[in-house]
Amino acid sequence: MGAAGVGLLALTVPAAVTDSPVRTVVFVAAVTLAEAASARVRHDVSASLDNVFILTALLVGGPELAVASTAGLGLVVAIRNRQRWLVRALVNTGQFAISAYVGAVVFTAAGGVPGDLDSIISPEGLGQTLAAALALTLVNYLAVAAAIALDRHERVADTLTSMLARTAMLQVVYVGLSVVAAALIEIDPVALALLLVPLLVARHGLLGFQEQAEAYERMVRAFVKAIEVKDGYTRGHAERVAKLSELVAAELGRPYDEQVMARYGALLHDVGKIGVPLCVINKPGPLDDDEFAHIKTHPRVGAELLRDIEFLTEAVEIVRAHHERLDGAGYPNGLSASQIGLLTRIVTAVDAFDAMTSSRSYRRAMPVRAALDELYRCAGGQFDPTVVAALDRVVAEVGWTPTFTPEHREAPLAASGVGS
Amino acid sequence: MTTELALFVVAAAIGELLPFPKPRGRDLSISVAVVAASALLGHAVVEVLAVAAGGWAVAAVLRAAQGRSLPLTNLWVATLGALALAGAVAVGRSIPLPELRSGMSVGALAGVWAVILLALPAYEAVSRAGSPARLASSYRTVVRQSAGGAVALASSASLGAIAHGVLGMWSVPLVLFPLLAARVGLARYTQVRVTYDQTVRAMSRLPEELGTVRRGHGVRVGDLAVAVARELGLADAEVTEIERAAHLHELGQIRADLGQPLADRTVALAGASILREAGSLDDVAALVERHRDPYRLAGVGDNAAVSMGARIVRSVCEFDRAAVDVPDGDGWQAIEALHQRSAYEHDPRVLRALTAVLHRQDRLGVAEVRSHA
Repeated sequence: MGAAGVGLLALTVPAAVTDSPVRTVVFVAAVTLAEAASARVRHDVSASLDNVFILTALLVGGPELAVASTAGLGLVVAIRNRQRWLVRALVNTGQFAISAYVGAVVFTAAGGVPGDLDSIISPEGLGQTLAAALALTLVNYLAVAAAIALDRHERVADTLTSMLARTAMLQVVYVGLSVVAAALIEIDPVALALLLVPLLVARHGLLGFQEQAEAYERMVRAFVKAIEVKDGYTRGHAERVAKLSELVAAELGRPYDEQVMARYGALLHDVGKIGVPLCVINKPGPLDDDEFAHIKTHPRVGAELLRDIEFLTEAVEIVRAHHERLDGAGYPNGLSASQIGLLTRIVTAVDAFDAMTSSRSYRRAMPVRAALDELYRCAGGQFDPTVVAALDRVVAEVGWTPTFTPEHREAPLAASGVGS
Repeated sequence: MTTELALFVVAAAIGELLPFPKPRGRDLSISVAVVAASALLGHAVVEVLAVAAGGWAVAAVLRAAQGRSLPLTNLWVATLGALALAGAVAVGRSIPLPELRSGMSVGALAGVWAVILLALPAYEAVSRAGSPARLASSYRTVVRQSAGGAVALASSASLGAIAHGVLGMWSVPLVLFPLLAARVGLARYTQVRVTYDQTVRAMSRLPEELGTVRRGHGVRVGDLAVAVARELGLADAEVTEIERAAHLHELGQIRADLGQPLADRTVALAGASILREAGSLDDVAALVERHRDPYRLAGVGDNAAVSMGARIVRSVCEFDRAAVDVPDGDGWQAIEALHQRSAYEHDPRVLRALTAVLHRQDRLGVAEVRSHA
């Protein structure tokens, strides 16, 4: 892709420069700056205005200018990435150059006339611009989605849906922006600055969102940790379950939003234990009816605590149902298999897995293999077999190790004679 | 002309349906930009008003079709705004200033920017202030909070008016495009801010699950502390902080085991250390940490380390604890208990404000009847 893109650039840049050197420099600078000012919409997808300027270049100066305008993009990518910067720069430039080229081909094929303001702002002209924008965006998205899907184990279609859900509005807006920009260049180039203002506001909002989203997650983690502190044995449990659940959701090909929800649900699944006395949580051996009744309240208490947080609606369901069983024998509601969502099934299995592979006051941690075997044994009745299989693969991939609390680290292994 | 006016009305309706959301306070209607563009293009006052009111009406009908409603306040805000914008354009045009290349009057543009950035926030400021004393601080807050969106609205309106000469009526819907882009960013920001607030509120119920704090204490103290802080004329940013601190002041209780309450001071310190971990709540943590300290020290005088916010949370918390124990919710007895310890523990200024708030909320009524009898 890099090579094809560089080839395209080699063909178009000289032509564009001969046509109008100033305009070429301006558009290369605009696209480069737009890339430098991109804002993330999820941690691995950025939204930028590159496409608006490429499209404007197409409307104002034609295919050569559009392709040539992507020439500086690679610079930003190279500066941003320390590792494999050359490959990334080439692939990104190539990707944009090719999508610009495809957009230009579609525009010309549809009968579009670059540089003719009257035809651009006519209804047919808008249709031609729309077609070019669609083609350009499609190639652009497919390339990005394919790269990300590979990385996150998402299905390409799911990544595309998630990207579209976050940026579809922006894409519609792009077409309008490009037309306005092309017109403004003819009317009053100074007015282009006015066009940039709302876009800067959008960028400001997205950056603020990113910052706030990170602050939010940190706050939730702090609360969860605070609840765990009083019980030394479950320390870190929520964090581990959150991490594994997110990975299992990814392994099962769930879309990004669901992976995030699995993480939050897992992080918060035991907040309801705040209302259960320590002596019950840590009691060695079987619980009496009273104590068990107490333990059984924690999913409901947790869900009640979190019910007013709209963003976490799906996570609250996980909290409420993470002790339900597929055979209907779980608590608090004795739900049947069809009423238990996949994300809940994931957290249920991961919760049990981490509990087994962590040491408690009254027992040692189980080896990873033994815990997985136990999950397989209970699959069907208690756990979802596909989830257990996915967890098995994830655990093998990340090299999961059992968690020991300090006082258990040496003693148990020596006592059982398994150690070196 | 009529087609164009219809187009303006449709654009205003879209703007009314897709406002810039704000984390707290009124949403900012995008229709303002459409109305401003109409004024800039020299439409008659009646037409500008028709765009504003017509946009609201179309939007209201569309909303009603979905079984929801559009607040009537939006109509007043839109029409008042339309009048202000038309007036500002007329005044601006009469000022002899150079024109842009497109023939647009710089004076008229300046008038529109001034109205959108400075005059429109006044409406919300008035409705939010509650008392004349707080008007200035509330106005500053609203202007600051709306600034980003307002700048986007003003520049889009200017843009639409400037492009109109060449694009004709196509410039009207195109005014909306950059604004819809801005909206995507602002909406996401607002969503996470709202979630943040909802989560703080939810976490206020954590200690209540332990049984050492009464149900609803955190939320009640939060609501009352906000009212007292406003009564004392504190700035909005501070009020928000006090609200969060009030919601979370008992958080340290979660370090205790069931049914074994910790000393108040221990709770304050433990709560503050948890909040510091949260990263973005340092100011709230400082408030929570100090909220059990005396506001005056013997031999020293005013204890500057205890902020007004900490004093408010302290007194409101103890009022809430005492008030629940009193039959018929008799606020006087609870207040009296606080007054008796006003030399060091409870700042009389806070108690005065608290009394005034309770009086307004009719929570002191029972005792008054008794004292007359």
